Amino acid sequence: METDRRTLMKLAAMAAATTTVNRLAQAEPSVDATAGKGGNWQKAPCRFCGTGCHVQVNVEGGRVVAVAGDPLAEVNKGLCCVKGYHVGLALYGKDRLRTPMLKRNGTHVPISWAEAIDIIAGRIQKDPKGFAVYGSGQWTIPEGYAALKLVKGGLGTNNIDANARLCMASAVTGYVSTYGVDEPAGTFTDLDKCDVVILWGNNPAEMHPVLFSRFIDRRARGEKVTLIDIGTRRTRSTDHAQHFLQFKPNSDLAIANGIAHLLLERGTFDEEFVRKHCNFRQDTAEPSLQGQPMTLQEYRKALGPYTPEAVEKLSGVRAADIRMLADLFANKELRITSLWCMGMNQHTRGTAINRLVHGLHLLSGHFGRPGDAPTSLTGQPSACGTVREVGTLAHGLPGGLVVTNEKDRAITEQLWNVPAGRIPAKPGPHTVAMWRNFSTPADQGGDINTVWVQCTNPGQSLPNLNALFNPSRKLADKFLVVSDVYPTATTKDADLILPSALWVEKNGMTGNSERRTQQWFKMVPPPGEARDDVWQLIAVARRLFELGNEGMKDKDGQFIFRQLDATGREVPIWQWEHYDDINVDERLFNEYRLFTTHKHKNLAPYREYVKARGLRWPVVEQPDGSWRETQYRFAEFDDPFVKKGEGIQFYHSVTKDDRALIWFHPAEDPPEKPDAEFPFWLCTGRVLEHWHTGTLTMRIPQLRRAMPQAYVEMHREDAARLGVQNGDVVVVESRRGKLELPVWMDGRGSPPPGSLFVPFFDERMLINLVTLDAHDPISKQPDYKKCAVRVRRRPEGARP
Amino acid sequence: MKAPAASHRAMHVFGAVLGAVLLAGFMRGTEYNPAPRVRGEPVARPSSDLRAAPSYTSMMTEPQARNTHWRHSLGGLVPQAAVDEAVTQGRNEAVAARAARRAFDGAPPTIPHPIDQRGVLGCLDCHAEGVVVAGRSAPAMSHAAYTNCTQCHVVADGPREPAAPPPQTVATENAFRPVPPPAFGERAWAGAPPTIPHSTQMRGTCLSCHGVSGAQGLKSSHPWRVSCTQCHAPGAALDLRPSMDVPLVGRTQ
Repeated sequence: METDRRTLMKLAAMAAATTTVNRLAQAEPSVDATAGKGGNWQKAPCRFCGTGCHVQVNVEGGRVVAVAGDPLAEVNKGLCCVKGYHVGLALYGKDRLRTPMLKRNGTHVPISWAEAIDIIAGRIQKDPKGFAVYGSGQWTIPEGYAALKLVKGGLGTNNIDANARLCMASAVTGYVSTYGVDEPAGTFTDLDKCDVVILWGNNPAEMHPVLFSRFIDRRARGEKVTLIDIGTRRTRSTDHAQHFLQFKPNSDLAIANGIAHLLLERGTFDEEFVRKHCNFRQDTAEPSLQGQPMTLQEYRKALGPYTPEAVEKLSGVRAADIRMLADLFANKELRITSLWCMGMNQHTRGTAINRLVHGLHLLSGHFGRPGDAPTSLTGQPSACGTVREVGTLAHGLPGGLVVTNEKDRAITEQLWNVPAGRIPAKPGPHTVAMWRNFSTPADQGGDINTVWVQCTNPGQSLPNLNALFNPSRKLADKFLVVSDVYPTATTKDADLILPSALWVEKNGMTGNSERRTQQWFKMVPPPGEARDDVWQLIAVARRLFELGNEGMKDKDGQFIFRQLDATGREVPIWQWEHYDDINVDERLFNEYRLFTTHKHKNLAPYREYVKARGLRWPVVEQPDGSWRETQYRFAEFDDPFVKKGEGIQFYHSVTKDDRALIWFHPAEDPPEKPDAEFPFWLCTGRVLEHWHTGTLTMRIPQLRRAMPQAYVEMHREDAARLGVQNGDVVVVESRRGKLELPVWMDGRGSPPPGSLFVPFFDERMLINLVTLDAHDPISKQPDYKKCAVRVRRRPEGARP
Repeated sequence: MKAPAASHRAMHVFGAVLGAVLLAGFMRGTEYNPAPRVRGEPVARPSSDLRAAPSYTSMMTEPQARNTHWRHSLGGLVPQAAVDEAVTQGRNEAVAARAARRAFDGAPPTIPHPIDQRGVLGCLDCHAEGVVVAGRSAPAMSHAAYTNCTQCHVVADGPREPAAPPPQTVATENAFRPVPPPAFGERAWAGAPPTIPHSTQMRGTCLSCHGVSGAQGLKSSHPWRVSCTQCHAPGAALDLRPSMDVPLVGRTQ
């Protein structure tokens, strides 16, 4: 039995080897044993975009020394983009803000934290209604929750909005008016399963590179992924696409209508899906979230004019390509994922185009199966987690509740234990309205006189800065407080600057585009006197409490942010030296999660997120005590809230009949388009290396050197006509402002003749002096993608 | 039977002659010709260069000239310390050059040459297998191929700036102190295979740096052996594996 003996020996050897490997892998290396060898790695989601990659952070001696992609993270599977790999360097720019500073006689002078907190509390106490908070999709969940509770639960106003208004408000109104509840039904898993990806005005190769790789790399594994790029300029994403459909700005509604027209005309829409799960809807005279019903016949009639030939005339996309898209949607064998981001959202018809794209998926039945999903992408790490889910918007309350709903207000007041009627029913000012008000003198109706900005840079990112931001800086009684980590275009003119902790200098939680809630722990101390944004909010609330502000007391007369330790004693978390005595993040999150069951956005307790690389809500407790996340909403096979046997159930339906809405919207002209005087379209956006206003990425040498400055992309024909070459400086001018920019032809993007593109990351070249503040009537999101400008060579003798 | 036309006959004759010429040419071409093609005067060499063949008897006492540098005692060798120093120096230079191209050990290296901003890039033409040209090397990728190279690798120096860009407003210095580049791997005893001193995440293709196209100080002494981890053990701690088991520092309660 020689063979058997040999086998036995082999098995024994293998067992021994396996045991050794296991022991190696599972050994708990103490931090000391691996010091100096890069052994102390901890998990954190990346600080930058809404993809929500997890990174591993290597910490030594109280400093971040390296970062790696996290192989255990489902989002990025170990891969990052160039920003993610360098995220650790964002902490160490030389000009980090280290101390509170007050503007006195035009210069910023250092003051103590106690003084700073006193100043803010004093101004709020003097005029609570004149105080507003302008927050961010970069707020962590506990930060946003604390700010919301301070304003709505404490001060009893709705004067809070967030920069996410500028980036995904139209996606929210699109989801809410289609499904009755916000956020995508699908997840990034669809990118692994789909056969076709349609990019609607989206350039993920640069803006969401990890997601782009997630489907493009499938080709290298022998899978077929058809990529269709519907855009207004050629980009790096176009280079990988089989089809590029170049459309005239603002004509995307015509394209969507053209596809729907063909589906009905040819009878290739999914009749059964529509009959069982959908209602039809159109706008009221005044655009609204609810609209008014229409029948299938009326819908068909409304789409009548959108023949492929008519759409070709409107959009510039060939009729054959409209037919190609209609053929794809007609084919139920295929799995189709639609992706969009700012192209559809930063649009004066943003809500409408969002609804139309959802409508195409519903009409064709490309919904509710893995790979079949209309999914909006987000640009900030917690635009979803904080702004949309916590509800830090003028109309929002935690967990998808809204101030306009009496029951929602009652739920909130009860959970916060504040007197009934504390929360006003009227939504506060949205972002554009808030800043316009702040830039208006008090005697002309500008009643907001103090704005506290956290984690964002409106002095660079607001549209039409000369109307919305700059005037306030010249008005004596308009007081701007800014919590940030670096000097920015906003802190430059702020009255009070507060230095904040950044990323792994504090505990945090965020929520990415696919409903994934993520958690990390503080790993390194913040520099100088920089402190957590949550602490700043609670310290001001406490100061108000001490000043006798009734709003800072709950029904029992206790401080609204009261926290007890294990022995039942109140922990003075408003004192920085005691802030770390308990995990304030955990307390706030566990309080917030109680709101989330009302709209089926269930979150697990904090401790579950400590163990995971994020969990996608709804996260529901199982009989065995474990917590299960949900990949596909409204689909019976995965969503625990769908009634058995229903297949698909839109359980938050606007029409209360478990159906989603298919909307009709006509294609219409934008508020401003090129004319004889301003003959060019201007589009703005981002580049791979820089993130939003560049305050972090411009301080990372590898990223700044790769993309040192802003530029204007221009077609060669236009450049020839203007007599300019690459690197020559031109003046780009709109009705609102002008800016000098170097020309770059055939660079990152190639706009068609008559179109320009300018990235907005460079604070030395503020393109938002030029952009338009016209916004979507429902979402109130401004259109950064379309306005009319003219271009000329810089006159001789101007700045060299 | 009709006689072939005169022109046909001429063609036949011409064909036969052409065939014969071709055959003769071919045979001539294949003929072995030992004579060198270029003849010249023989080079005169000084007689001192010529060495008489040693006799068998003299071989025992006189070392062969060609092997005069051979040593038969260890004492005369270059000291081991000097060898170690040279190796260390070569390695340090290679590691420093490597560090200059990335933010920290493990960060994606920047691209030291211009690239196209758009289009399907030809990165893999050189970086799939690795190329050495005129002393400059385009290393093979250390990881599996991904499609979108510029997702992680950006140019070290960006697009041409216009003659006078606006003055910089942000601090350009960054106080980030990277994790030090890896030290030598550990050896259980002199001569034992060293362990891998760095993470192998995205660096699983060892020959990218340690193969024949690698830098002098990093090259393997035995590049024909390709199953590296057979002898060189990766470190569990370096492989980021224990991340969940490492006690988390922070405000846990």
